[in-house]
Amino acid sequence: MSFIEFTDVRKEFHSQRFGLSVAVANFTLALSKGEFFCLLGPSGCGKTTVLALLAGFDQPSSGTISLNDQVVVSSSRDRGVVFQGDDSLFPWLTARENVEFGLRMSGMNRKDRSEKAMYYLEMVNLSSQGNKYPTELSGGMKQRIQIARALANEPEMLLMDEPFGALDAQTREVMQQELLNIWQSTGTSVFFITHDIDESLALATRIGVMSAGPGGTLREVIEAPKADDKVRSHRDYIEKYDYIHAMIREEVARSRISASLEVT
Amino acid sequence: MNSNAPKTGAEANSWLGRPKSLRRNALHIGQFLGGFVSLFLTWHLVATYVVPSVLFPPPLNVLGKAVLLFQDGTLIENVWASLKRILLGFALGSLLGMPIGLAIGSFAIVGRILEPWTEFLRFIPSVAMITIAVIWFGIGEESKIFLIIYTTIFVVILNTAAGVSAIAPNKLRAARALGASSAQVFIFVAFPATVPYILTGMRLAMANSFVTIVAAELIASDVGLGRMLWNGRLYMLVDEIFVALVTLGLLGFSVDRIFRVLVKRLAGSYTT
Repeated sequence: MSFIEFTDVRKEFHSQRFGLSVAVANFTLALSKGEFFCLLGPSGCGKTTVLALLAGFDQPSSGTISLNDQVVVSSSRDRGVVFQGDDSLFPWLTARENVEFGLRMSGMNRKDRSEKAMYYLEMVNLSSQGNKYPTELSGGMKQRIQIARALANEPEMLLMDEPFGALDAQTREVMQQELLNIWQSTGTSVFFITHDIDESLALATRIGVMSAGPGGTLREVIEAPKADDKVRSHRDYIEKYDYIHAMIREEVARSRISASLEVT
Repeated sequence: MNSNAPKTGAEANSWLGRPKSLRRNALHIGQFLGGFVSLFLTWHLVATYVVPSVLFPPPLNVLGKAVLLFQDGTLIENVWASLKRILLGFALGSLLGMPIGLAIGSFAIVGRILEPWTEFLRFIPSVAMITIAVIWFGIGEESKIFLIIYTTIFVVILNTAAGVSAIAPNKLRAARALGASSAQVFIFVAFPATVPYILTGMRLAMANSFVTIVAAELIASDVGLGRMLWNGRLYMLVDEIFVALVTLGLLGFSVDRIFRVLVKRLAGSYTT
């Protein structure tokens, strides 16, 4: 009995044009509480599908996902989600009101939720921008609002779908460090999706590498370097980088071959 | 956090930016007013030198007539009669259209049931409904308000429904993951996200309302700008016709400006 358990999860999509397509197959994984798990894989391997299933936005075609031994059937406030793009923010609300949204839905009074929102805005270093609208803020700041908004609900875990993918390199590095600090201070479990090997090595406690799609599955789970060894010059870091890199290259090559076989 | 300070509008408009943008605004307004002046100047030149005729009075004569009609109260009476009908019908039509459009856009079943209604009725122009409206409701206020509601409601419904289907799926997902119930998603996300579309629909509906009210008043009414046009034709009061025409243009223009400002202001904070 783990915190999160994926048991033989499979997700198929049916469409009139393309017929049946398998997004994820035979996906089995157990996560423990407080873990920072990175799911890594080439594009199109089904990473985002796995996150959508765990978030409860979609249901598996077969297999189960459970959280604290309860089968996940829908989205809920115990799993906060941070999306890649800023189109999930509510542009008619200020940064602070965005962060308050979940608290307002649960009926918390104005004063309490405002205090809580300020606390989390401070945590993401945005306390001075609380009264600005999302359109007035930079890409990195918008992602900070998303993180604060998810954290304000005090969820059991944070699901993040390439949250820093659209940011420039410097901002991304700052955001990664901040996220690590938040993870250490709150103890929230994190399920983080990325296609960037460096990002996964810098953040995760464990890294799951997916095989190439269609019908991607979990190929291997690797222990990430320890906190002190998360430097690009460290031997453990370099070895793991090379190992994962080779694995992903192999997957991409394999999917190209199978794609070309399908064509001919 | 200095490493990635945002470039907000306020910062871009710093000591150098602000006066520049003020000057640019003044320039734009000046050009706009210039456009208006050229319209009336062309009218004046054509009416005075190209076709000098009592059937085409120059702007100053029309202005003189307008002042007279304003002083004896006729102009205000007619403007108010038409404007009241438009505003009342338009408000009712918008208030009815909004929830229907939201429901059509949000729930597939409602969409399938109501779309035949809207798709059928929106092709019957409100002008074509004038005769039946007069038979049903008489020549008084009711028939006019019915017609304005009719001409408003479908445009607002269609735009609202289109707005709902244009909402980014991640907004709805984010709201659900934050613990919002279906009703809360509807009220706190679907509705505000659709506001710019609703306003655009209302702006189009307002233009339709002007067409409809004039047509309805031309055919059956005792007061209003349409009535003024009809009287002008009956008694050959060409300058009164022109007063009514210019008034319609100015009224429509002002109302549309108000909407444009509203849409612009809200669109800024209501869309990503």
